[in-house]
Amino acid sequence: MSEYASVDEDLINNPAARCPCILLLDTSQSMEGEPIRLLNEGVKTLIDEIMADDQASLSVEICIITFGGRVSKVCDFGLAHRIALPKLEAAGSTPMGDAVKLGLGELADRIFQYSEKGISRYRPLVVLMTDGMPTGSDGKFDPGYKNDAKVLRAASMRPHKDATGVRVCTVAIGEKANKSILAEFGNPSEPPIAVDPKEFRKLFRWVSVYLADVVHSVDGKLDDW
Amino acid sequence: LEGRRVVSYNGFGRTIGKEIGRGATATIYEVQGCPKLAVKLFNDAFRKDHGVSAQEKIAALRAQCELGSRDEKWGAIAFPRTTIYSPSGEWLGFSMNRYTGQSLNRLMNPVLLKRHFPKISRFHQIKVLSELARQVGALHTQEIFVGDFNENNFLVLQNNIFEDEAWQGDPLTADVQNGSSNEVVAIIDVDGFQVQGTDGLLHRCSFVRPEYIPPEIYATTNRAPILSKSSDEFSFAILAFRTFIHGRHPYDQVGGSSPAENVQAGRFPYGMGGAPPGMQGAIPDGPWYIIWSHLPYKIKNAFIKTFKDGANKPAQRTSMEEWLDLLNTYNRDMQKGRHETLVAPKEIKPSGYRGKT
Repeated sequence: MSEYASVDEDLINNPAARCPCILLLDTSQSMEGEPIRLLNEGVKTLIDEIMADDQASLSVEICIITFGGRVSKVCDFGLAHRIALPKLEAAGSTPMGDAVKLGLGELADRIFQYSEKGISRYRPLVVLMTDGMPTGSDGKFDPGYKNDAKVLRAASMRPHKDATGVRVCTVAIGEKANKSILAEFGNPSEPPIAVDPKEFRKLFRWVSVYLADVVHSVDGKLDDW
Repeated sequence: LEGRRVVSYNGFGRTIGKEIGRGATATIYEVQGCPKLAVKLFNDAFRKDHGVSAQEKIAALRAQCELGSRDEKWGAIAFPRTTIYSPSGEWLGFSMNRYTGQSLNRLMNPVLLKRHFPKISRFHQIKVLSELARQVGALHTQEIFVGDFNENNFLVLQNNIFEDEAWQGDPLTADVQNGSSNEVVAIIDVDGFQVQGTDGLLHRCSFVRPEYIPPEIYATTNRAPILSKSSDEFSFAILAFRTFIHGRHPYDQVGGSSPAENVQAGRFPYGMGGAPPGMQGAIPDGPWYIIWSHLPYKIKNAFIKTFKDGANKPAQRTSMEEWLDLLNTYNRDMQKGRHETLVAPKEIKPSGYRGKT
């Protein structure tokens, strides 16, 4: 048996408690150029940092969903060494609400699998990053996100011991990101973090430190950014 | 802080070396020119808010360590040695023995086990656990309680554990209670322990990992609960179980929740009366039951006693003395060929199995 068996075998052969993390990344047209290049670099940094930490490499599972024109799951939940990161390209509109819906569905499925295999878990982390606001296929503002935002916010506000709670981190990229809309997705006590694309690497390193703290049972604080 | 001068209580100066580790409240550094020492220096915020109580606790630990050392051989425990100040006399932290080893986690999780200890046998795991049982028992004689059984607070001293190749299965060299290579594991992060000062003041454990604490401690809302022998006995049993069963938490089960919640529910899926495979509450898929089946009857019983009856009745838990005795018996019987020596046997132990002949 190889050390790196298949994703599902990981749930049988590696009993470490898991911390699932979903990255919901805006890859719409406006991210073209430097921002998307830096985003690719940043995500790679996150994966490398997680692999470098023993406990995090066994415990943190990442799922990546992009929203640019359409919503697509570019990486299924898996440990860092499983992730074959495709090159993220920028195109199209910003279907943010649908990305959140898909992300929460994936998370629920994964949590069910953990439970079936007797794997315990920590509170999941959802990172939502955008440089704009939710738009439809016509490129115009689409208020259809409201319900998805409400669901995610409700999950973020559940008390620490509630098994259905998640930690939500919203990230506003650059000047044009609509922070008030973004804020609707997260816990009101944790407003969006404003980040310039040049700071992506720092941001993802910080996310990796947070995740490592969770799996080492140190109280992680998102407001330390 | 690397390169900064610090002084000990008697004014003796040293230079801070490289950073070794970092926690929420302090950073551990090497000391230049003293490879066997490390210093733990607390950060400003912690010193401002908790400086006085931390200094008292460290003094209490040192006092109890010295009192205990008359009768007990501590083994490798990173007790505070001297107080460390800045050249201007500001309290910064303390010095301690430095141990270099690998987190006990690497002896548990199957992925890490293969990566870091490919040659390990059951003998090595027993050697580490019996030394820990002895050390925890010795700490208890001084009313010191470990509390935080985080695997990363136990360092497997790799050079010592693999010191003698012939040790594996050799009855003449394998008595784990004797010999200088006893130092196979070091306990670090000692200032987290619960200790009672000679003045009677109780210094509580600063942090406990929820997956290691017994129900009566989890149930208290107090962030710094009062620990006892029986709470450490429960935590030690979890650590021992996870070492033997490859990182599996004893209460992990199909349909389970977080470790702490599973402990609360108190359903230990191993032993008689467990749920059938695949059902809610059963042992999870994987090699866990096979590994469990190879444990000696008395060791299984010690786990069952602690995790079933002992979950809500602290007095029923297997004591540190019993653990030491059971582990030594396991070791001796294994040398006689009565038990499997592989850490991950492939088949369930056949009934009537008495080891390889």
